[in-house]
Amino acid sequence: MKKIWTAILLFLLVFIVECLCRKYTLIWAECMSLFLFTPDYFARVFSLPFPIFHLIKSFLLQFFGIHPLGPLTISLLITGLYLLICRLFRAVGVGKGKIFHTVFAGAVFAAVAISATIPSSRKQESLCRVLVDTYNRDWNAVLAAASPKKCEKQRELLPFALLALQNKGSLTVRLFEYPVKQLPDMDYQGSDLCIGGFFDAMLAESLNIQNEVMHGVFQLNSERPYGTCFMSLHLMIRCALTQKNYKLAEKYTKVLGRSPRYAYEAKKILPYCYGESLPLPVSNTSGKALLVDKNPISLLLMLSYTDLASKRSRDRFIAYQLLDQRFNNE
Amino acid sequence: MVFACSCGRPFFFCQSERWPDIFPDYVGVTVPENCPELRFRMADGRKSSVRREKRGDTIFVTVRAWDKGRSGVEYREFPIYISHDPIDPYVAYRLIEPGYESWNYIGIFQRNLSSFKESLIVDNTVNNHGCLNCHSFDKGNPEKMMFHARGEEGGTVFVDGDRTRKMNLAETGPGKQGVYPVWHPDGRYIAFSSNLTNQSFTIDHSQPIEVYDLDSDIILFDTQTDSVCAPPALCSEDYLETFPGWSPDGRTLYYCSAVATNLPKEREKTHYRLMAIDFDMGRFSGTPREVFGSDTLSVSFPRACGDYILFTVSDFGTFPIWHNEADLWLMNVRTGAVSPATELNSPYTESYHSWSSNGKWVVFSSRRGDGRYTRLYLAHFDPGTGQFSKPFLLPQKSPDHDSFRLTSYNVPEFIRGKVDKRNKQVAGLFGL
Repeated sequence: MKKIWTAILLFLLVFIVECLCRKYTLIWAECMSLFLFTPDYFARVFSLPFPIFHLIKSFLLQFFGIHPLGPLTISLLITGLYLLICRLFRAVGVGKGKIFHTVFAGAVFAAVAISATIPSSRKQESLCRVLVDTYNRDWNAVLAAASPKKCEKQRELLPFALLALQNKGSLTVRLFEYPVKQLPDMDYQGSDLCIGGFFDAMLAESLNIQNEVMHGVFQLNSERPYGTCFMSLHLMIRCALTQKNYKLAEKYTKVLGRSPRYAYEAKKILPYCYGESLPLPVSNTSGKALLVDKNPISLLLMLSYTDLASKRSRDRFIAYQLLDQRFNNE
Repeated sequence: MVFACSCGRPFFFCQSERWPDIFPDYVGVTVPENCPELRFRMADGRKSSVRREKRGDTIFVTVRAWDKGRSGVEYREFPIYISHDPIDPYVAYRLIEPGYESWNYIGIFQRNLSSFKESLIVDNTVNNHGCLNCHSFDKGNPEKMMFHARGEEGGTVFVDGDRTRKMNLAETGPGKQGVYPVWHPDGRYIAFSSNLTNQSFTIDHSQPIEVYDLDSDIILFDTQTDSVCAPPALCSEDYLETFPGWSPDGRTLYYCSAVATNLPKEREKTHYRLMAIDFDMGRFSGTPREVFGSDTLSVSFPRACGDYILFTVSDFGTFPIWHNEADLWLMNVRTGAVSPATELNSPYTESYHSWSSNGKWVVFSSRRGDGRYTRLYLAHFDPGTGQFSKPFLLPQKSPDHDSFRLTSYNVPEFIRGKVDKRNKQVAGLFGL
């Protein structure tokens, strides 16, 4: 009977630690995962080593976006593992005492608590929080999570904070509150290509360059084991709807609907995919279309000559000019 | 009042004189004898029942559709014509996500055309997830094929029976890398284009990307001597030569050529023309001659069969897959008549195409489904009249199979048999 109480206590403690320390890490894990009832998805999973493991992992991960299902699943798995090991010990004739169970449960909890609170995990959690808030376009939350002080400590948060400022319309006003040290700080400079693709897509979305949203999303997709993920499917639906490419939006929505997690949501999105599509772009127009310049200042300058010019793109252009002036003068 | 059974299917159906709006659209198509059952659903998602009746060489299909709680409609029966012209048993293609710069998984697959079975030939796990592209077969022979496996220690992989070898063409002769290949009908030579390809992305709502060649030439690879030659007539500095394609007798090489311009700035002025040059005993002779061209059109992928050449035409440039206006055109070499293959075309891109070995069928790629994901369509061809029948989507076990597929079909090529899986052998070439 005592063992049960030890297990329940372990479950509760792990659950609390996971809720407090890994909430956003688990939500981001869901964003990057994929589980679909499609022949291609299963074919891809079964071409990987340990397919059953991948299948179970992906199935569970899809629910991690609903907080606190992620911490709950992790706590249940850890507690289940604890009980299984206890049973194994008992089967070989050791660990029958009350003290053993208490010490073992304490050790498991300590391992969970340490792994969740070490600096690298805390950094990961801060980053994931900013990523999730950026994905949800909750710019106030992004600014709260990526304050100037936090950006100083963790520089990979900086471009997301500046993106949030841009979307709030205060980039030029508050730019120098943040620890910007060079021009490239405006963009994601990290080595994670997945986050790089995500940032590019969100920046392009903010500047309303929908072609580049797709570009960023496909770059992100190329880093995922199944060639896409829940987040990229959502971004592609958003982009296709903005572009009034309803056929494509319908396709992605139907694909999303093949996951148990998003089947209901897809059903609700689907009616929005039955509009009248814009006429097809033809080369006669694209032959004269402005091309994306790798230099962000030139790109923004070109953008100002198109219908896509907005306050956000102007703000970003001015921000670049201000930074250019400051660092060149220095 | 509507009478319905417990499953929601009404007892009475109104007769309609219209044909049903079904997906995929199989109304009035011509299929080979060994084609698997064409499975479809109502395009608007209504429930339906199907009755098939074979009369002579035609299958008549009657569709009844209904909504739960509403009356049903019985549509006018539509025909599916059966052709006795045999089709090659397999088609090979590459599956890849339609991204721009990078990829995750690429595989070259084959599909049995008399069933729904798709199987892998080789995938990019063999070359550390590098690119795999431009597979080509010697007259559709499943035992003799080649493809490029890029990346570290990449090269062109040649398969001949049980023998598999890798060569880096850039390290031989003129030092040019091979890109678009085509086997000479006698099986000894392969003509490659050698392209220095670049791409630019557009800002506003137009085609998202323009792919162009800063330089391109045509080279000839001799599989017997493993030598590469770069004929001066096909390697001009002032022209961009690409997309080689042999005539059926192997005595003419068709290709596309454009004046080299300042790209990408002058991309809309880049118009590739269909050219031809004579070939005999392993050598090109004479001067290149223009077969078809215009200052407002650009030609790509010429594929000759019998008296006809099928090619892709777009407004400009060399990469029609991103051009919605790209269509297939047909040229009668005997009469010189050129016209769009209207039956095959749609407002979306039609691009890569391949003739069956008897010249009675074509497989081509089209983006008509959703504008981004390339799908394969088959159509019957009558060489006597030069007419194609209505094309049909490659049949799948489920009508929505391709809708749920997040990869594009590339480079469809008919093959005359099943290719053995080559992953193990090719991985060996990469030391894996």
